[in-house]
Amino acid sequence: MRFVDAPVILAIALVLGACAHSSRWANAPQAIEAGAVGSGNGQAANELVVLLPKANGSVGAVVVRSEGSATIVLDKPYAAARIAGAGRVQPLTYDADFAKKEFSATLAALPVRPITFLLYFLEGKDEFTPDSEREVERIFAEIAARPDPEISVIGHADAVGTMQYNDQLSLQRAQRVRVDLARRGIPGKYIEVAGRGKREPVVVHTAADAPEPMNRRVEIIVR
Amino acid sequence: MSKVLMLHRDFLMLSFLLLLCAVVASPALAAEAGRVKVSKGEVQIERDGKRLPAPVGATIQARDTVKTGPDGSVGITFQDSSLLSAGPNSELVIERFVFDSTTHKGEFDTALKKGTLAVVSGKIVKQSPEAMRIRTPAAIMGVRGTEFVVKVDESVTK
Repeated sequence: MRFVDAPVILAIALVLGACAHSSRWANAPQAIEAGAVGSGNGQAANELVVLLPKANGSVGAVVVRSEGSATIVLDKPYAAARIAGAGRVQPLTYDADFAKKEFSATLAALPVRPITFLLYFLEGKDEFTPDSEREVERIFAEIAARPDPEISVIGHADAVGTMQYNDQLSLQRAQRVRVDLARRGIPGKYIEVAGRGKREPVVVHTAADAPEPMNRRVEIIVR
Repeated sequence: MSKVLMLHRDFLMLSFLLLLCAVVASPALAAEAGRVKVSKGEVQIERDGKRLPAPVGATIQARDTVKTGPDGSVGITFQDSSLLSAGPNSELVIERFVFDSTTHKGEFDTALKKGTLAVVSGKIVKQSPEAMRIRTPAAIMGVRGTEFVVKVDESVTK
């Protein structure tokens, strides 16, 4: 493994860190189970985690665990943790511009985000609604714009019937759309199908088994 | 025992063996975890001790190690729509990737040995928060539906 040139300041941190704490991490476990954190090489670390706002502006959370240290939850934009070794986790707030600059090459390599389309059928027919017909055109444009495009066709069902019945039904819907996309010129090898059954309704009713046309849909993800 | 019955039994046995073959063979088919979508400069996949190139379109499997050189960077899209990208001088191990496209249950463990990593979580995390984990030499990050970056300075951890 190659070494990279380290700034002097980091080298100093290494020496100080190693002197002060080497004995503490000597026998850290290598397990990857939550809560049990592997370090084990008995030397200082310099690690950084920075939470970013999502593309849609919302923020999720990352939980940082290091053996011998309290769990830290990062849940605000640019909330960060610096890890100087097992059990040595310091929370901080990172500068947004600095984070973008420091991770610019990494962020630039993120693949284009997967995009989701919803297709609905004319009632009792095997044809798309006019709106969905236009969506199909957008799907083609999206596929053409992506490197190595992959397409997932995911069928959904409403709540009428058993879990097993709806798994089967939703998969059949997806397979029907796959055939249709293939006929329109998308090579079948790029398309995988799945049926989500009634697990992911768009419209939720109070009655557990209510019929709902909005939930009888096919979702297409272009990755 | 009559001949007909014995034939029937042999047929059952054969069916069972064929089924067993299919079950045993299927993990190999399901091995694809993701695909390389962005590949710049020097990028390599290490699989079963072999070094493979990692152009756009290359398949990523569980237990693969992905390495980038000083000018390299790589972006991978996984089957649950999670995205990972690594910057220059990085080493990433896809330790485990399991995803059920019907239930969205899964487990996704990645280790960043060195370098930089950007993470955009996908459907596994949406279904089960913290079923996606990023391990570094000194910590574990449990992902609860988000985007974040991680850096491991190898010159210090080694």
